[in-house]
Amino acid sequence: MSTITSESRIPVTIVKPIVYGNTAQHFGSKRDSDGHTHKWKLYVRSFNNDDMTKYINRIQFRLHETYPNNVRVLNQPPYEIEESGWGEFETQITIFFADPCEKPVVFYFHLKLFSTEPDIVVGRKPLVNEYYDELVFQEPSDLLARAINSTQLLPISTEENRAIEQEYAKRKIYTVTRIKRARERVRHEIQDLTERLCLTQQSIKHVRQRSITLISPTNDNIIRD
Amino acid sequence: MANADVLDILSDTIPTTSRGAANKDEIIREKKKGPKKSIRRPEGMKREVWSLIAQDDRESVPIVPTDTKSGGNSYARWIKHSAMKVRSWQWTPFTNSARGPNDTFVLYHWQHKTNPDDPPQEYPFAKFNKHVDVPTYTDNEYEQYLQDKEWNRNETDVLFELCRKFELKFLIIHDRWNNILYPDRSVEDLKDRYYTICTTLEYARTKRHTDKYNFDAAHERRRKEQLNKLLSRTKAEEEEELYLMNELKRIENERKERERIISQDVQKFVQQQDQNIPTTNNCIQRTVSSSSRRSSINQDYLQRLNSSSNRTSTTQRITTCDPPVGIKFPEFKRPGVFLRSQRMILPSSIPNKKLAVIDQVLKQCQLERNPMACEEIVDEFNDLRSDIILLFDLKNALNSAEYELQTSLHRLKSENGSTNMGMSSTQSSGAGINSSNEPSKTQFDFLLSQPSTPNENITSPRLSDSFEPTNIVRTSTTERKRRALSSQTSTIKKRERPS
Repeated sequence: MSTITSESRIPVTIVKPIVYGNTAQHFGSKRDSDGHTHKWKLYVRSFNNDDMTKYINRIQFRLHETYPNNVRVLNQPPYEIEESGWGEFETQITIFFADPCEKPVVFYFHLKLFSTEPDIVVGRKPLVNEYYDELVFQEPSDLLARAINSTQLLPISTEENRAIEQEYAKRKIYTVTRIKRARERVRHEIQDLTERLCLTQQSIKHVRQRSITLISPTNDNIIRD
Repeated sequence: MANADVLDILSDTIPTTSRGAANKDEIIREKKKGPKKSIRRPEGMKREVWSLIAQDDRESVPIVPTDTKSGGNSYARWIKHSAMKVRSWQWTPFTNSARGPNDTFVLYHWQHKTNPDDPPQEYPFAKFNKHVDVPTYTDNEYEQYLQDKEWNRNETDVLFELCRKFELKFLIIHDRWNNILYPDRSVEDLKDRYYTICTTLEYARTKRHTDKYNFDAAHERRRKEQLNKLLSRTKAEEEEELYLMNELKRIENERKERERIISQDVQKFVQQQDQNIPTTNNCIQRTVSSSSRRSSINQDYLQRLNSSSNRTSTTQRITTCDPPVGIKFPEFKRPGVFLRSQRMILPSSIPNKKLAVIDQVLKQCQLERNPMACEEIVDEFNDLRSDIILLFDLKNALNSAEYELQTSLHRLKSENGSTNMGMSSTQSSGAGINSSNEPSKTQFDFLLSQPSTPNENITSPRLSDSFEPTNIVRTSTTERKRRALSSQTSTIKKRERPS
């Protein structure tokens, strides 16, 4: 498996950040015809506003079986599915790459419609359920590497993009610091408990030794008798 | 003429010997000689039997091998004897010398006829009439050595008389003991008196100690009492004992399990600890300073621990050992594309309890379950979750270790309490031991009273405190079980409880 010499693999790792998620908007009322209450949009897009078509062949969205044509394939951006519905479900998203020999990336995404925030419940604000992720190309093939490196920034709405990027950057820093703090805390406790465990173990050994020395003189008496 | 012709015709077939022998005697002699055979018929065997076995043309005869038990030829001997006459038996009177010299009791039995000049035989069973040698003491000896405050001379004499009469069968002696004339004595009392007198006499006469008359009256009394109690157990008591034995076995097994787990975990955690070396040093300093608030005794424990862990850390750095990671996350080594968040997926092997714990801790630290998937975050997040699981395991191990310590201490205390009474006689010799008992006892008391509460100002709410106790250890021990655990002394002591 690792000795793929037919295609030369470039020993680098290329990271392409993406964003995927869904927005959901409540109608305000339940639609009588099919009971749908929300309009939602499921999407996958590049974080940096890249031209993903260079390395992505197509994206396949698998929706719930009750949807007609629940397997929807999109060959060009925007990779979005707009639909309406009444319930949340898990979708399967498959990304196929420009290199047909490369295995597609499959992941699951839970479509979120409901929220507890009053604005969203009423329908004034749409719900945004978005995740930042990264496509990691590890030792991509020659073809794919060239394809990836040839992308250019799309000149569309870079302003908006920059705002989003900044927001994510802030979030990243925030999360990292939090995680680091939590790790410190946990590690301190681990340290503490480890010491106590060693201590307790030693005490146990000590007590056992003492009880043995206490038992043995009385034992002798009984045996002799 | 005709006779001669017949004879001529028959001459070929007629045996020549009989040709001329018309003598009646010769014929008889021939018959008597019998047909010549290579093997003679053994004497005593009937002719018909022999003819069944024997074969004319054969040298040997297949005879069943004779019985060689009686040194060869029992058959021959029997033959010889059967030709002999029967020994005569005589209805003779006899006396038993074992009955005593003045005995005139005469019995009769059959005996082989003996020559009248032979001396009369002793009754062969008289030699089994053995007697016990009960020592006798003179008045001087009694006054010198054998005085006792509970026995007077009279009683002692009576006792010895009974011993002689009943051949030291103490049960009979005890039965015959006259408890109206003399104070009531048990079997042990009588035996005790007898054996002490014997030993004293022996020593007085030979000036040498012997081990012939070792008798421990107290032990005997206890032994008989125990046997009586054993015999008279009620059904309920017996069941209770069985139940307690099973409980003890079970508890011992659990204890061994716990010990195994604890020792494993300690290894694991000590190793884990050594991996985080830069943070370790800070932590050690911090905990040393905090422990200064604890008693001084604990501090040298900690120092010893630190030194030992430092020692082990150096050795372990040399020997390459894999650190036991809390969780093993999926890794992507193969070339291919994958999504960063896939590295954050928890493996399915983690039990639900641990998942719940992870969620709990994340909530406490105000972290979301799936943060944004950058490289740095993913790494840190995975490590964090690993550490959480480690902490959880550690907490469990610590709980079971503490429980173990509690039970050991309880056991020690009960033994200490029971043996302290027995040790009162050896106080003088054990003075040194006692003085060293005290600090260790206070140490253990300290440990007992403060099982697991460190100082509160380390981290205000501890993450691990919110973990539920999920050990195999049973925290609900009934009083009886505790006693079964701690009192592993002899059964007598246990028996005293219900009685």
